[in-house]
Amino acid sequence: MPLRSRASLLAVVFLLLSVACGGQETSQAESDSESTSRSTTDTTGATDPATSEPAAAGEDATYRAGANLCLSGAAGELGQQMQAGMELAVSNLDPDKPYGLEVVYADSMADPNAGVTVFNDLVRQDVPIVFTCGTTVLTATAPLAERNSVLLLNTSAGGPELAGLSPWLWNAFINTQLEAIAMADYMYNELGYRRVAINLRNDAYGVQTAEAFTPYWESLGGEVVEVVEHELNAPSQEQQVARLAAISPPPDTIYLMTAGADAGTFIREARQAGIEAPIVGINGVESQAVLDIAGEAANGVVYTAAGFNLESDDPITQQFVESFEAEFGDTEVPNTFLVSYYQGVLVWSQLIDHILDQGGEVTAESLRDGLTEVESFQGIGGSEIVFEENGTAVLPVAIKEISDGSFELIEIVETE
Amino acid sequence: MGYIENLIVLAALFAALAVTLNLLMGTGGLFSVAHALFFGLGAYSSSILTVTAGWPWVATLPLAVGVAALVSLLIALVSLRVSEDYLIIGSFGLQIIGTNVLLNWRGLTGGPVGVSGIPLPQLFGWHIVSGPDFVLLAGATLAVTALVVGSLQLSPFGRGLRAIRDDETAARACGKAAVAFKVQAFLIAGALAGLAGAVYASYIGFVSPEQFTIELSILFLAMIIVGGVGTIRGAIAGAVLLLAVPEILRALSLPRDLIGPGQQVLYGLTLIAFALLRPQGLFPDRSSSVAVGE
Amino acid sequence: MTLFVQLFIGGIAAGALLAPIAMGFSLILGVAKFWHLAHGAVILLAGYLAYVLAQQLGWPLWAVALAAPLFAALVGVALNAGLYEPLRRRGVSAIVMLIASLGAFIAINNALAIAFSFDPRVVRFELFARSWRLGEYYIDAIEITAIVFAAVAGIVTHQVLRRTRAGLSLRAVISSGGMAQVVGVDLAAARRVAFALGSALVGIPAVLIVADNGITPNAALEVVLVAAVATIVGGIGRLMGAYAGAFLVSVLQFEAAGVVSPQWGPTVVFGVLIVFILVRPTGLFGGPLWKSQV
Repeated sequence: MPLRSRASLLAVVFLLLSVACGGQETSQAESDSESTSRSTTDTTGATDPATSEPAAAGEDATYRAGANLCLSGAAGELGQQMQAGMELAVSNLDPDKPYGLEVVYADSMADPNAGVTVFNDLVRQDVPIVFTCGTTVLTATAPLAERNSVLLLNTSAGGPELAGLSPWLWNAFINTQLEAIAMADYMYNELGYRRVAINLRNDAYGVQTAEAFTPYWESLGGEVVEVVEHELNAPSQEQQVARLAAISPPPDTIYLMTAGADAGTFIREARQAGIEAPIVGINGVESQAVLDIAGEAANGVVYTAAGFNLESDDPITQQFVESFEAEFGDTEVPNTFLVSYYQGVLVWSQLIDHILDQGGEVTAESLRDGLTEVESFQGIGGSEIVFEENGTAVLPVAIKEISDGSFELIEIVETE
Repeated sequence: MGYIENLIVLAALFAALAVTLNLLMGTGGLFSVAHALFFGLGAYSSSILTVTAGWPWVATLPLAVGVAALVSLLIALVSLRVSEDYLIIGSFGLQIIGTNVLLNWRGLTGGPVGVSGIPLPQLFGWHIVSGPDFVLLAGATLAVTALVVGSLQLSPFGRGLRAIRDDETAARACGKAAVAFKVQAFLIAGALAGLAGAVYASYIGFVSPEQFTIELSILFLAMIIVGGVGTIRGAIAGAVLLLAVPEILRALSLPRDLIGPGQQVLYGLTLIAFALLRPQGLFPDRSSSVAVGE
Repeated sequence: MTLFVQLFIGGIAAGALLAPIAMGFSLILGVAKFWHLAHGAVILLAGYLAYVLAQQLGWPLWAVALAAPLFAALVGVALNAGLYEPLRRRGVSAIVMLIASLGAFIAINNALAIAFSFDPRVVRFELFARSWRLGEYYIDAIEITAIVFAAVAGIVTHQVLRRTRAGLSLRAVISSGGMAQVVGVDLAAARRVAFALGSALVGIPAVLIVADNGITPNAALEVVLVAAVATIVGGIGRLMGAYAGAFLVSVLQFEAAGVVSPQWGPTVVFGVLIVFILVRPTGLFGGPLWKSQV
């Protein structure tokens, strides 16, 4: 190898070695058994991850959180809704509270690699809690959250594998498992359906909903007559529509396990193809994109959603509705994720209240412990959010219907 | 796991991949956009074996390397009889097929959910657990890769490969010999990419199809173009530089939702800029009169 | 059986949408002699223009249908003049042209994402709200429009190439490149025409995409790559081959969806590509084996 490239190679190696050995962190290795959690603790000079200085009398502390959201890329629409929800909540914070809230927003692009880098960056900025979106990003950052003692709060991903994944990962969103079961009960008992065809999105969201639904549906006595799949952001679903149209006799309903534009595309193309079977869906169906793309074809679609009863007259809900309308106008429908992240900030604020009431310091540990210490949190719609030991919250599921370009509530189902 | 350490690990692994791609593109003139696939195959093979079959990480390495090498044979086949144009588009095609298979062959790969819970690696008694440990492992991977590729580039094999690159007609006249060279180049590049994949999987802790898409292949391509096709130094420089782009954007506090596409716009403009201003890259291959840019 | 007939109808409609795009791509490849991946960006730009004109400025459909191809042609010519010709003057290789094209594609694609977000942008035109059933089969207004346009575009392009002076020059450049210059063909002018015509062809398909399920930056790369597949399947240098190839590939993909699950579509399409490269790289309608020269 020529001298110069050999020298450069050595330089690189030397650089890497010096970083590896000369770093300030010492690490305690734990046995690498089959456990999924990489529980290594770094002990740096500063062990307290919170940035808040103790508030002197009359001075307001600012508590910070990170937000690792999918602001661009395929799920960019949703990430921006989430950010909007958080910003709205932060600006709605009661000015009488002895503290302020600040959120550092970052874009994970729904990509686990980028999400990990973003997470590390947020940790460097000493946030004790990171609101995170996206099942793959959550799965990728959970081990790091443990290593760094940072609380991950998930208020959007409904994948069942997230429950109990890590003591530092807490979920406050309805799980598509819950939705699927609630919808199964509703379809079987209220609507009388027996034969279902499924159109699912080929990713964790769609696949896991189907995995939760099918055995339960069959245990009730129902039948799944056909399953078709589509890719995220498929430009058209004519092939899937053709397969479903060919089912003979036609199914009682088509269960759409997808979201946004994909749901809209399918609904529109299915109706144009003359498929008359009623369509049901999961929370992703509640989206402006569905109304834009499917238009009138979307009327009558029944779906499950997070049970946010925006008609409730409790002050929290009222404040949300009013500030939402002031910001976005009264024709826009609050996106479920916007509401959920707003609610997430509410939970965060209530955690801080709880910690301060007890005279403690706001750290990642105290935030995490607070989740189970507080009996229930006040959520949107007058609901009470209770966190279980396994890291998930019990939340109500709403059955809703698209009607004349708006999302109407049919009923709210309490889940256990 | 510090922020900087994470960047260094990723930089070292991506640099290793850029170096192997460099063997193909720079030395061999074989343009392939399927590199993320080999990376992914190594990662998946290793992960599936450790998670579902309980193999120790070290034992999975030969298989990770082997699977990646085998699939790269497929690409080699595509390159053999036809010109580089077909190779380019063919490699696009193979990359997309690869991601599609990883996504849909649920029984084997776990489908969209991928494989998670990958245990920490152990190398002959050395437990790789912490940030600095991974920096060492990634660095070692880069070093091994660079040494292998570097030695090959200087050897008669490398000279032969360059000769084939420079004059395809003469290469065709050499018939079988040329074929053998190309196939070997692909095998080695694929194998080393698979090795990097196995290391990567054990570091991140889980693999999914979206980590190994055509966008990543294009990123590797950009690294070579920027760094300089044909030199190892160039590949490493390109990797480090292009990984720094999103970090710089983050540091500049761009509006959050602009960082993702903004970063891509920068990559695109960078490619154009280098094509216009310095097609031979930052560290061009001066050992041959014919580089990509000429 | 019903299923397969319906899938055939859907496949023809999808092929009709792709055919003008593939023809344009093939034309540019044949005349300018490199892979103009930024073709996908031209489609996006035309589509977003249609969206802005119709949705935000309230233009009627016929005006949008005139504006879109014109704008697309302008963009194509501008790309050529602003990026490719300068690169040519620097004497870069075809690979570098491809990379610059890729860079332009990435930059434009993501700039549009910044401007319009990744949400699909849809326009509902009254004319397209209809669909028809014939027994058990169905087709909608957009699909019929696509088929009609593809027929018109195919005939017009064919006639232009056969009957006009410009068309003859184009064919001369496609079949014999540099030699055409010897007999007096102005290569640069031919390229301008090729970019203008080839880009104009994507205007109407772009409008149809906007009217159907909306335009979004997400699928653009795959559209271009599938156009490339159609080009190779038809035989590089054979415009009508690309045209036929578009239908073939689309119908194949649709029919496959009746046998295996639709999400294997990309594997089917690019699998066809690999098969052709390995077995018949000259394409169905055969031409010489292709090699890009710049």
